[in-house]
Amino acid sequence: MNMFQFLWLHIRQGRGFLWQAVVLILLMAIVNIPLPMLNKIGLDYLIPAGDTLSLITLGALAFFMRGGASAFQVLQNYVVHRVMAAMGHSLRCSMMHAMLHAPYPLFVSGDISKHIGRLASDVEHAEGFVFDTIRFFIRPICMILVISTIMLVLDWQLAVLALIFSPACLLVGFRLRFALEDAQKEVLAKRQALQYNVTDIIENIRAIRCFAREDRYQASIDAEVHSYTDTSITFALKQQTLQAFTHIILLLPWLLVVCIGSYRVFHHHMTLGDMMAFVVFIELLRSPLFQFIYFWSEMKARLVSSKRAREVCDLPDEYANGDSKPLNTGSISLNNVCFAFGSTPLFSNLSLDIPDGQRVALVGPSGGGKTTLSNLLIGFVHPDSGSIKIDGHASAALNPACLRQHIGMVFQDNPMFDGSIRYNLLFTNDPSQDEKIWAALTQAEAREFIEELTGGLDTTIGTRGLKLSGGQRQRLAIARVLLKNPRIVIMDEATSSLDSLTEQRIQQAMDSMLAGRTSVTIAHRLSTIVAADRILYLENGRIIEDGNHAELLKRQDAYYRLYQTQTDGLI
Amino acid sequence: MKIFQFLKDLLQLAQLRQRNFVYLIILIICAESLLAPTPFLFSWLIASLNAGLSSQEIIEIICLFAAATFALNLGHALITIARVRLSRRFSLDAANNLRHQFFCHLVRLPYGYFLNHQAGGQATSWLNDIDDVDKAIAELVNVAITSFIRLLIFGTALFLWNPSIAGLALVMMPLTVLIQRRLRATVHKRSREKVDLREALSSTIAEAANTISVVKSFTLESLLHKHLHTTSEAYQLADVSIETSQSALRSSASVVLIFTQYMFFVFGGWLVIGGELNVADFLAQILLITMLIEPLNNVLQYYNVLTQSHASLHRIQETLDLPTEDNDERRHVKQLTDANAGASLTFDQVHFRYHEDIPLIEDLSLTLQAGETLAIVGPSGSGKTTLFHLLLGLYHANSGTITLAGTDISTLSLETLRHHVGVVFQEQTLLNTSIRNNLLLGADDPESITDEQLWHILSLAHANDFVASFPDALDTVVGLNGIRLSGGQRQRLAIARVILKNPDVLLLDEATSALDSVSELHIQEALNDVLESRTSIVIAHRLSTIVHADCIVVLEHGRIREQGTHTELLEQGGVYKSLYDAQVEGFINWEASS
Ligand SMILES: Nc1ncnc2c1ncn2[C@@H]1O[C@H](COP(=O)(O)OP(=O)(O)OP(=O)(O)O)[C@@H](O)[C@H]1O
Ligand SMILES: Nc1ncnc2c1ncn2[C@@H]1O[C@H](COP(=O)(O)OP(=O)(O)OP(=O)(O)O)[C@@H](O)[C@H]1O
Ligand SMILES: [Mg+2]
Ligand SMILES: [Mg+2]
Repeated sequence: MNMFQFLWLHIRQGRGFLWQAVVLILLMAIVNIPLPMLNKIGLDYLIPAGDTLSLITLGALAFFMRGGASAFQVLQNYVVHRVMAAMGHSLRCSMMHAMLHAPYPLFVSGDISKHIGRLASDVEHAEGFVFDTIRFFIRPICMILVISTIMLVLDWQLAVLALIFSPACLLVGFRLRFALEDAQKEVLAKRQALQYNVTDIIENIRAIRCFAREDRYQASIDAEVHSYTDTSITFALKQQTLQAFTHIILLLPWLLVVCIGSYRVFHHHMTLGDMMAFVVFIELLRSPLFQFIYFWSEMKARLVSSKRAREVCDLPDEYANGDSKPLNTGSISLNNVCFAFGSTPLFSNLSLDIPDGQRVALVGPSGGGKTTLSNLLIGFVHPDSGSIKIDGHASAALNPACLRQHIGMVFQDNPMFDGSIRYNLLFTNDPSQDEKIWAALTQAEAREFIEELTGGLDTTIGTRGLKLSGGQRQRLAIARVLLKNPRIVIMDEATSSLDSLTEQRIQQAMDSMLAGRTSVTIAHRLSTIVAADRILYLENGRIIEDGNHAELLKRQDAYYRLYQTQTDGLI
Repeated sequence: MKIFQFLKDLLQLAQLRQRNFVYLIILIICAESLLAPTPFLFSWLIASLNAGLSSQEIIEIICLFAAATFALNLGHALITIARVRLSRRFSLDAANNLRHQFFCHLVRLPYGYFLNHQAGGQATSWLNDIDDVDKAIAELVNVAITSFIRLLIFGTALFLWNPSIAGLALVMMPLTVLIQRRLRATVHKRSREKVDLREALSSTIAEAANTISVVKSFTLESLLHKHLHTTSEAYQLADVSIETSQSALRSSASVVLIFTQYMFFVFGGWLVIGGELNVADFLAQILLITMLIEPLNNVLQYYNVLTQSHASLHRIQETLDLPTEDNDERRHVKQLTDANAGASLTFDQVHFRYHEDIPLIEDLSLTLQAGETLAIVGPSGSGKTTLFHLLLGLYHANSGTITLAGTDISTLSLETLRHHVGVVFQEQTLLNTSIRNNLLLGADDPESITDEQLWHILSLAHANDFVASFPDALDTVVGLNGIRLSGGQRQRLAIARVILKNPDVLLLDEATSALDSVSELHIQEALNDVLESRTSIVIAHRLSTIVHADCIVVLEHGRIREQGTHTELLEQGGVYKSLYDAQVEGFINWEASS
């Protein structure tokens, strides 16, 4: 599929208006053209003949023609924008669809965020692509053709001169315009850097504030603003110089027509009316010529944006492949899994079997790969080699959607949406399932604090849920997974911010809930996991100990040391 | 919208130095006056065609005409170029002023503000708003004033030349403005709508990127896409409506202009027929009228820019009008009175609520000697983190006093307060930049910190190993919210950052919850050395973290339930005991069963 086919796919969305738009644009281009001839008639015939009545009729005719065209212009713009908006909408939606369905690693690498920052401008630019071609390329060509024909008929010699001269000026205009491009790019880059920086600072406002570093970041922003200013001034200077020169250059054809025209009028080679018509024609030619210059310089930007839009649409859709099989049991098996972040290997030949219904705990030093292992299970990242089987099906061949419906996960950092509690639990604002929600909240020991809130389930929890306490967020995250009711549950430090009493109560509630399900619990607080069927000690991507609490203690090795430090002074 | 008031506001923003502005105006007048003679020259040229001159003389006249016109236009261009630097600097200074002022204000808004607004997502639209204002000011000089002066000069010329015809033009102008009133209101309203929708689009998807693990694991993609689809549809409609109204605006203006033009043609022609006007002047005056159209159009277009920027400036102003957190008169103390004595801390009958009707911290009193370590435990939601918020001045106690080294913190300037107090929060936020820059947040003077020092600090926080294992070491970029690091790694960087800051009072909120006990022990030992004489408050649920604290406080529903050392509290057999039991029960059970 080439670029045009790609764009056409989206333009088609507005096809109801498309042909009307094209016809209107071309029609409008031609309507204005005969007008200078009316001037000529007035000057050459009516005024010398002293025919006032005809002069008034002529004036009225001209007015209605141009006025009518002007009114028509509104219709044309409406139609054109309908098409453009339909295209923009379609393009925007596909881009957003592609972004959302892109694989997880692209989010981690920041690629998607970059695209988000450019979404609005890219769509706007791409929208213009087609209509600019019509408005600033095809239409000017039509106009130039018609105007040149009339001019040639009026006085071919002057016409030829003017017509040769204008494109020459145009070429100079081109060259000047291209000189601008780099300067403009630099301004845009500076502007974007500023934007990223401000966003990042705002996102981290609490840390910056608690370190009382507002001034430092203020200064860094000011510095960025200043360099932005400098490039902007350079750009403005270049732009204005360009404009001034373009103005001068476009004055030349006018001067040429007036000077040579008056010489020819003097020798009665042409009438005054002809000359005036020429003057107006030259003016009329100016805008298509300008549009040409504009078209070429904009086209590049538009192409770049369209290409980028297409790149976004072509992002891999992780849900596109794989079979949707009904998964029944919760057995997990890893076979010689290798995985590396870049060139740093994390897992090499990791093998592990978790039978259906087992409750497994994962412990080990920070950075050992616990979170990464769970990300592998849920299909966020994929092994470089080796295979992972869930319920006997190779997860690489499964559709991720089906895999993820089967597995529920509580994350270490509990991401929350800036919405109501209900939205964060069931992702809807429809209160019809509140009973189910309350049941889950009871199990997750979260009922009490929500009942105290005046807004109940409708309470909004602020940016990233920061209006809740850490433990409250965690309990919501647990309730969210309970509501999902998956066969395999992975809990990454799901209760680290909870006091042991609350944790114990949740565990009791979960005992019944987890019965018969496979669960993987990651925790540093050992009291969370002593009761697990099996404890795995993961260090540097290798499972170095595997057994239940009693067995591992007997080995008096890594797990035992962990246990020692944690109970030292307690028991 | 009161247009002149708004223009005045804009100029005020520009904080223009009057002299510069006068220079600008003079330059513009010079440049524009150079354009005015063209129609007169033209008239002279046409008139000489019928004056019975010889061919040689006509050629001379034509050459003179060409040279003069060219020279005048060139002069105009040169002056304009010379002017640009001055005028662009002028508008950018204004916009930068606004950017600076706005950002200064923004980072000092109360913390609660950021929780209630999708502040990160909005940063983009604020910058766009300021750009709009920038544009309004830039075009004020470049387009509006220039065009206005040109209109004035050409209008006067026309008026002097042929008063009756000029009268016609003057009659038509107010009509234009009248027609446009209604349409502008629509554009105004819809513009605001459109901007808001665009913001909704980008912040929804940006939030999705921030919560991507939840989005993916709950397969929410289609759901979110449906939301976005609806928003995008509304956006599309707003867009069409704005563009159509705007084109109607343009058309209505141009119809009036066209009308003027042809009225003039007919009326002038009538004068020529009556012998009151000669053909040369008539043609030149037509030329002059055409030359009026462009500046008039520009002024009308500028009105559009003004409408847009008015909406934008309004949005900015709304934020600027919010009080900042340090606007409190009482916060004048810049120096702790007896800092040497170490930082003792007291809470005296402190009350605090986030919501008026939900009680939280009630009548809390507590004393902590300099150098002591206090541990706070208690059920989730009991107000532990809130105490830190109060201590750091992120929120303010409703009643009661908190004193730091004998000084009431509500009289301390926030900067001083936060200079003395360092914190590691429950959820660490890392800037999306290098590890080095994230650490330097803790340094008072970042330039003076060497890499060796950083590595030393990292080793204290038990973070040197993993940082060294990254190919880029200190220059590794951590990703959005530190996503490329593991949970415990993020925590250790946050600890390193606060060690570098070396504050008198250290607050640790579950600072080691994501670490295994062995690493935790190492860090604790290191902290004990570094922060030997520091006063510190530690919040932790893992009791092994806090058993050695000088004093342990059990907080429940915002009140102190129990207070004492580990052994004392165990003997009391209260809440602490039950927390302890819950935590060691598993072990005990196991020990009993084996
Ligand atoms: N997106 C990433 N890019 C590069 N390296 C990464 C990325 N995510 C994790 N890592 C690295 O992989 C290693 C394992 O990380 P992981 O998050 O799995 O650890 P963990 O066992 O969960 O640790 P913790 O207990 O601290 O959460 C760490 O060294 C981390 O820096
Ligand atoms: N910014 C806020 N706006 C409104 N309410 C808040 C805000 N921050 C916390 N709360 C509420 O205040 C109460 C106390 O929260 P706090 O964060 O102090 O608890 P905590 O003791 O630290 O709990 P945890 O152990 O779970 O972190 C909670 O009910 C919480 O919902
Ligand atoms: Mg982890
Ligand atoms: Mg807390």
